[in-house]
Amino acid sequence: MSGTSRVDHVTCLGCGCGCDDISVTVSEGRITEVTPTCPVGRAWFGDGSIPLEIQRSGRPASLDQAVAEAAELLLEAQGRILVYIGPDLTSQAQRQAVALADLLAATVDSATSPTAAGGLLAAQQRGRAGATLGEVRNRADVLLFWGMNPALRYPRFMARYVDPAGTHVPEGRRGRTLIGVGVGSDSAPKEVDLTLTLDPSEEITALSLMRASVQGYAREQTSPGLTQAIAIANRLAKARYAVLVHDAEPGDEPRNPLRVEALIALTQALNGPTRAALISLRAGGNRVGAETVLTWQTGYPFSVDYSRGHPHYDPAERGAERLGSDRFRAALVVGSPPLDGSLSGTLGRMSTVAIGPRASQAAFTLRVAIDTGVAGIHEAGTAYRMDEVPLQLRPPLDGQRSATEVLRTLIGAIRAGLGPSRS
Amino acid sequence: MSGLVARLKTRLQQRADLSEVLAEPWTTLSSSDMAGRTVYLERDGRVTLGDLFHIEGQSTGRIEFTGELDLADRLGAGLQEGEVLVKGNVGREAGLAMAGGILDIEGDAGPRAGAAPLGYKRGMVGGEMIVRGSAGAEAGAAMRRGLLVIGRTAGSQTGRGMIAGTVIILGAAGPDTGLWSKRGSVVALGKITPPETYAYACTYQPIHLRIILERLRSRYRLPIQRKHFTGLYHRYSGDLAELGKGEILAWTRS
Amino acid sequence: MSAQPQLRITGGTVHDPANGVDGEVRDICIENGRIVQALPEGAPRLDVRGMVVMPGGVDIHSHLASSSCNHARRLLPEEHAADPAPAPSLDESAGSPRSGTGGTVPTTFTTGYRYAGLGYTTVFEAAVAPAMARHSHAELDDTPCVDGGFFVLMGNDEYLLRQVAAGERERARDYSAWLLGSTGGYAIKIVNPGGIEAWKSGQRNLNGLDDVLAGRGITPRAILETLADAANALKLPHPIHIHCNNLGIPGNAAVTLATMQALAGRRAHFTHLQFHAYGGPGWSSGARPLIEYVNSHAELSVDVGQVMFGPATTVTADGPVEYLLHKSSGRKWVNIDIELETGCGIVPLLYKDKAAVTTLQWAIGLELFLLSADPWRVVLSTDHPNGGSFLSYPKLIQLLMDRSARDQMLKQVNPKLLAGSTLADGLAREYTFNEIAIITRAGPARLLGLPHKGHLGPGADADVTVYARDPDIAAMFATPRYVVKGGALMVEEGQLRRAPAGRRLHVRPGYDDAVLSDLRRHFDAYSTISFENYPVQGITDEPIAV
Repeated sequence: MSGTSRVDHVTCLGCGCGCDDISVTVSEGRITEVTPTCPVGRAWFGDGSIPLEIQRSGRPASLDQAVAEAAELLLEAQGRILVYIGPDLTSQAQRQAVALADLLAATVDSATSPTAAGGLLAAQQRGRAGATLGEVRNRADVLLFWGMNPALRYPRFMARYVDPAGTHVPEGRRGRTLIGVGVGSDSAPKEVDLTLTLDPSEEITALSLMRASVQGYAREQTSPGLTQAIAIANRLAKARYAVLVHDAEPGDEPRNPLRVEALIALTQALNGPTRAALISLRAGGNRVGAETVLTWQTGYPFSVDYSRGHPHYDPAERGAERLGSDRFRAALVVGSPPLDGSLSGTLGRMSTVAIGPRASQAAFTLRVAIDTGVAGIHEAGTAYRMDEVPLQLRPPLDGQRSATEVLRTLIGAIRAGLGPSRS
Repeated sequence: MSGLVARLKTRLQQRADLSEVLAEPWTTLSSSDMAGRTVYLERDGRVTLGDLFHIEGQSTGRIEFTGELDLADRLGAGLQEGEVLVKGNVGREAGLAMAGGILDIEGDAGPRAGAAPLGYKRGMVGGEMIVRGSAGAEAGAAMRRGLLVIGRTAGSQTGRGMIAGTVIILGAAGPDTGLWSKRGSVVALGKITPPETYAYACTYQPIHLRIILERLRSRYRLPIQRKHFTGLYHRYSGDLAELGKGEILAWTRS
Repeated sequence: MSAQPQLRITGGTVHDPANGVDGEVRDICIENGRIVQALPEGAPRLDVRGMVVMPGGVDIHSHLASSSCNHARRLLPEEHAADPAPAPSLDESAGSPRSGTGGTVPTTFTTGYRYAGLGYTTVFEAAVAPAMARHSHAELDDTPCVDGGFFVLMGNDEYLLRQVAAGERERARDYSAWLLGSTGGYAIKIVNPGGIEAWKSGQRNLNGLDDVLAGRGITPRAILETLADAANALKLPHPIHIHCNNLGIPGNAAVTLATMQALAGRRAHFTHLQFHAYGGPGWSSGARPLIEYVNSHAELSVDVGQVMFGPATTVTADGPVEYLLHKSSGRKWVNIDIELETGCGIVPLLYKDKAAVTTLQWAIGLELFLLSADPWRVVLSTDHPNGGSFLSYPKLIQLLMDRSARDQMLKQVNPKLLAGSTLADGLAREYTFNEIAIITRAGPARLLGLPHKGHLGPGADADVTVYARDPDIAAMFATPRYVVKGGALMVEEGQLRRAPAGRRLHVRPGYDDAVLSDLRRHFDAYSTISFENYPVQGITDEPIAV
């Protein structure tokens, strides 16, 4: 590719915001400019160059050879395989990955973080009151940021969903009241109208008292923090449309696992006196898409075991966490390989096939590595925003191997190897 | 004794999921039919109960499990009928969402005994579960009906999100016991700190409690002291973040 | 692939009401996926002597493939665990079968297999938020065995409401055409016109046809008229598909009747009428005046939305009603507000025959069926999974065909609210096979404007269901002996053997491009999705001609 060109309306999967208003300038096959600028997005796009290797046991191989070896290895380990769906795959590729797991009676798990998984479980138990991100922009007149500052990991969240005018908030940011509650070292945004910092030991009590207050129960509190939390709850209850925002991804410090359920329940309760929605901020790379695809194909959003002949949900003992238990004889990593130290350590000690962006550069030893393009940079298809709105991907670069196609080829090879009983 | 006896053949080397063993009606099964019930081993996958246990005796609606069962998870999950005795400790999620019958554990139970499976709305919906030792976190979470008794200490969040039913703790109750209950009763004979969203109501001698405690002493030979029968209890109502129709009864003095 | 080029289904008793065939023994000839007049003598034969042959079933209103369904799926792990669905054993050449899970909202593959197992070959998803259309296409891609499409939610759409407020009816028409084409949808769906916007903006709901959306001067009446005119002007194959205001509320039959009257001669389909047929002020049946109005107005059609006893999951864009259900039932509750377009609410329910209101709902549904004068305009549905799973259709057919089964049920149920119900007074009517063929196939196909569906005349899609006679009507309809779709023998001897991919049914009506520049401004001002990225790409099936 030569010359300079610009591709507009590109969707960025750097974080879960899924901004699809990006213009990407490409020069000599390299990304040279990304606008509007955002540090997370800029880092995610990089210059668009990625390796394009195919390897068997670290040595170059043809695609046919690599697929044949992967198929053989996976067929041998049938029933005791972990399929790990990493980030940066299109949902089309994720569908193939889950199909492969079904075919191989594998356990399939994803890059869904433990904290995000806790939120999914709480929402399964209680339901939830949520909204797509555009409702924040169009309706929210009071926003509560709980234990998080979107500026760090979701840099354009404010610019896209809080600052601009909306259908029901014509003044934009000026028409909204922003409240920040910090919890220990989880700090709130700076630019808020009202702040409160809670000691982590008070957090769940505060959220319970806030909910009790919304439901009409008021009691004098001795702690000033709790008193102020209740005042905030009453402010939320007087909003026209209250939005509560928290970060579903893990922070630097461990946080109270009850936080997310408490926020879900508080938001549901706020729909008595007013309207309210909880926004759970999620990381990018189409992680949410993996949960969405798994749900429609298995009924469950993560940690699904096909070894019983049908999808079995095992959220308490996630496949990825059980890698060290000898449960699995082989692993198939699709998407970007995990960087997590312990996970990649275990993957390196077993027979592992990786198909995805930078597979050949994984931090662990692989039997088979097949590099593919990155969803949204090189590969077209669909990815889901953090609020499960499906977005079109408009890749600015092309010419890379498609993960979807490689997975299809692998399924074909495995079906041929399985014979008629289950092919 | 009469009934079936299941003796662990060799020490478990990996976690075993027994959730399907007693979930379907079982009280009329022969020992060989019981031996055919499915167990999922964490590493080796599907095996039968008979692969792991010697099963003997006649079916009379009772079954006794013996051996070191710390790695045996979900024993008695979905139980609907009969009497299940465990001569020792059990692993996680014993009596998960059980619906009827009796699950009597001599030793300790791991986390989430009698709780709802993760992501489910309802935990235990009936029957009686006795943990004579201590119970891990979240015992009786989202319980809907039935009785759960913990002989020694109860872990954190015992009875969290109870919808109804009764939890009786003979030892100390862990933090956040009773948190987010809708209805139901937590009875604490030992130490307990009710969540902030419970309101103190009164101190009294709950007559109905004597009947239950008497039953626990006579039926299950549980070591309940005189002072607990006749003593005064603080009554707290909550959780006010939910319906507020639940209660914590905390023994306070003779 | 699995489609045999030729097949003669021979010796069966054929019910093909669209072609005036009512229980005649005749052969059905299939060639290259279509019904043909005749085949050479040597063509492969399928001997179905003594059996009942009908066109493949057509479901006019189901919730099976949408973001809302997926939220509902995720909400129901307990149902999935209780109903595992191992992969079927398909014919060797038929591709990889998929396992899944069931319950009231099964996984996509399992949904397709189970519809095929019931003899249904065409299914419409009844409520898709335009922004989520891409998701519905992906789910439909993973729902084998049925041809399908979806209806696009427009009754609370911000851009459309603005056109209604401004009296810009032509622009509203052009917008709805653009939206149908951009989403790959099939028909215009209206759910609680204006009421979802009221829920989202703090007004909670609109209860009457002339209630005004606060500060905007828009009424449900104006929304309905605008969209009914748009659908007619665009000559869409299916008219507006209406879920009225006040679903589930005692006394709502009045607003339903007013809505029918307001449309004054315009074509319209009223969906899950049962949920909108309650007398008032307390709980009572309002079925009779509604169905009588429908009987005498040929431009109107309905599907019933029967409530069946057992588990159900209510899934609807009608957010306010789900909040009320959550508060009254104490069950778990999902609400998702969808920017600029609509809402989504979910509450799982159990319909108990010991519950008086549930029994009344059940009875009202049956009254609508049994008092209907024209089966071509009263379609069988349970509003799956709202009134019950589609798997309960065979039991519903039994209730319609077998009065003794109905009377048996009436003895079991809670009769408290049945006073004044014509059902309790004894409706003797029993549906015939031909009428069942109409309300489950020929009628919905005609109402959907699908000339190739719902009949067995030459040129029709070769979608055929063969039932073995059984005095137990429910058993007969639950387990067809053979099901053919597009010429492929999907079900053989009662077993699913092939699961061909379904075809997408969608429309792409024309519109005046002038709407686009205004629409782009609207997107730039308020949407978080780029205008350029909004339309769904890559639908390979040709649109249905408009």
